[in-house]
Amino acid sequence: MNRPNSSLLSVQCVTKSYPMGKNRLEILRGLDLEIKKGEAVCIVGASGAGKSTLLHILGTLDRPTLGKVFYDGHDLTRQSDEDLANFRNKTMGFVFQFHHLLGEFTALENVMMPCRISGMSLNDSRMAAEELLEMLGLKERLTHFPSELSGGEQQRVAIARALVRKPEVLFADEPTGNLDTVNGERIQDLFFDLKTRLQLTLVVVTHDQAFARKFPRVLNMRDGLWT
Amino acid sequence: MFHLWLTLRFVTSGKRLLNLPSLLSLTGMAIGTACLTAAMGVFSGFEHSLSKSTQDVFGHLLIVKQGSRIESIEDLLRRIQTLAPSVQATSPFLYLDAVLAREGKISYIAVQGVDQKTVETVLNLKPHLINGEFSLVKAGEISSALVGKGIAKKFNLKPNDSFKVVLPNPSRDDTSNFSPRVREFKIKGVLDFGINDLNERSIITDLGSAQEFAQVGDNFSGLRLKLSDPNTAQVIASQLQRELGSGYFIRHWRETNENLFAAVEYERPVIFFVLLVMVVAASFNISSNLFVSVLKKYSDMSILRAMGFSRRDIMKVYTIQGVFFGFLGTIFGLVLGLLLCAAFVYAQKFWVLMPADVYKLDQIGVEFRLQDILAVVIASFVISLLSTLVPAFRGSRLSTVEGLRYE
Repeated sequence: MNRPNSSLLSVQCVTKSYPMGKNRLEILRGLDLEIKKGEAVCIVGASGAGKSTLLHILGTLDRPTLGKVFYDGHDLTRQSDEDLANFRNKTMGFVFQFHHLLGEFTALENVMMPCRISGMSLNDSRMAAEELLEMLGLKERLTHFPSELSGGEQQRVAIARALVRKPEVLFADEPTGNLDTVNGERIQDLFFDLKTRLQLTLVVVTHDQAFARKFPRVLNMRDGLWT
Repeated sequence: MFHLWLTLRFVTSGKRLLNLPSLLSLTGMAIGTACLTAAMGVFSGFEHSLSKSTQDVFGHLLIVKQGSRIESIEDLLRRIQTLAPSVQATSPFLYLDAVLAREGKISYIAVQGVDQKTVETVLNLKPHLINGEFSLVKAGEISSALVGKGIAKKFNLKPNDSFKVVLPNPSRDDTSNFSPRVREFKIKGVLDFGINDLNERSIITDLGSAQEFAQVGDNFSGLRLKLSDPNTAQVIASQLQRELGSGYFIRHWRETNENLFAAVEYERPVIFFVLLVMVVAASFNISSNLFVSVLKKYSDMSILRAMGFSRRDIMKVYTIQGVFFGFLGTIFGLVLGLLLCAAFVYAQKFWVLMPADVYKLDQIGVEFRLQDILAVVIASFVISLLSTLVPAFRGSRLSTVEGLRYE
């Protein structure tokens, strides 16, 4: 089912619940959201409010119990796992609180990974990854393993990895939650800089009120509902 | 190729390959495969040694005239050539049951007179010479003989020693009476026939001496035949039997040790499948090791999912990982199996591993047939592949979101 809409990404009456004994634990309780192309949206709320769950559903990492998710008018909830995997690879980038870099691979190889998954050649993947790492000031760290990088560097490698396929939407779940104040602020500035330079749509989940205040659109969540 | 590269980097990075669970699963697989390889090698070696020895000393086919000795060899040869064009060579022989007596010991023996001109075109006895020279040329009046190593040992005979053979000759008038004939032979060489029965009882001399000894003129017992393909012996034997009639007794080389050949044929697959159980048991190690890996790699696989990996891709990675260990185990197992076989061959020089009175042979070689190696490799590969399926499927079904929640 296609839904004519000016928004790039939207959810309609999305609920998410898990069985818990005889009852169901409701995380999201019928949310609606529309995000326009190029918009920067920040979702804030207390722990357990359902922010990350919504971000995972928006990013097709999880499926809603009920409701629809649309991207550019296409219903994502009807697509197969294989199609969604290709869609994620091409359209979406993710940055998490923990960098989740693969420990067995160098910084360069980590950033090349989404390109290799897409079937891009080794040379093209390397060129794309090197260009981005250089842009993020990590030219001297290409052959370093994650364990040889500082926390800030690790998160910048993770950002490079999220952007190497030139996605339209960048999702970030507490991207500065594991960094000290100085590194945290650098990463925040980097997000806005990259959003402008690469014309990204940015969806960030954070606890950090200072970070949230930098966003033109902030959404508050409580108990699976907008407040 | 990307999946293979990714998996190999996962398993070979740093010291990961050498961790204990991986080593244990690999060792288990290697031991199972080694036992399978060694057992197949010994089985094939036994069959090959028995076949070769039998064909060397027996020929491919034996034709004996029942009840009387063959008088017209030309006529018989003409018929054989017409009926079986694949016969490459023939050699007549005279078979005599006799007794060897020396220094108070006595033994029942079989004297075989062979035609010196043709015997080597049918039999292959020279490589079996272990002492003395391969010659049946008479030394004056005394006939030359080649004796089996069992006889040589029992009667303490060496080349150039002489011994007497007694031939019990039934009286024409009274069949209950025997008039023994005695003949002296001089040993030229000692043979290891490769078959225990022959080593213990067989003496070979030239056809003329045997005919003189038995006083049968130019008659002989039968013919030994060599075929272009020894594996056709059974078919040609049946064909010749049908055409020559019941007056001729025809045996092919497999019939001399039919029971043993049949035992090898039937036991080989049984042993294969019994030992395959070891490989199956070892594959459980691969499976459990892979389950551990699924848990360890949960977070990595989740981030790969976020990057565009599908569940099928994850399954591929785990399957390759399991098959990689299965493959390594199989290769190590093959090498270990070859070493075990080499040790088996070496140990035969010092210990009796094959009782000759049971297995006919006192020493066997080890042979690796391509089909055996392929069967071992394919079976091990399929088992290791199957052992990966459950953990790989389980790993691909885990929640991505849960894996991303913690580092």
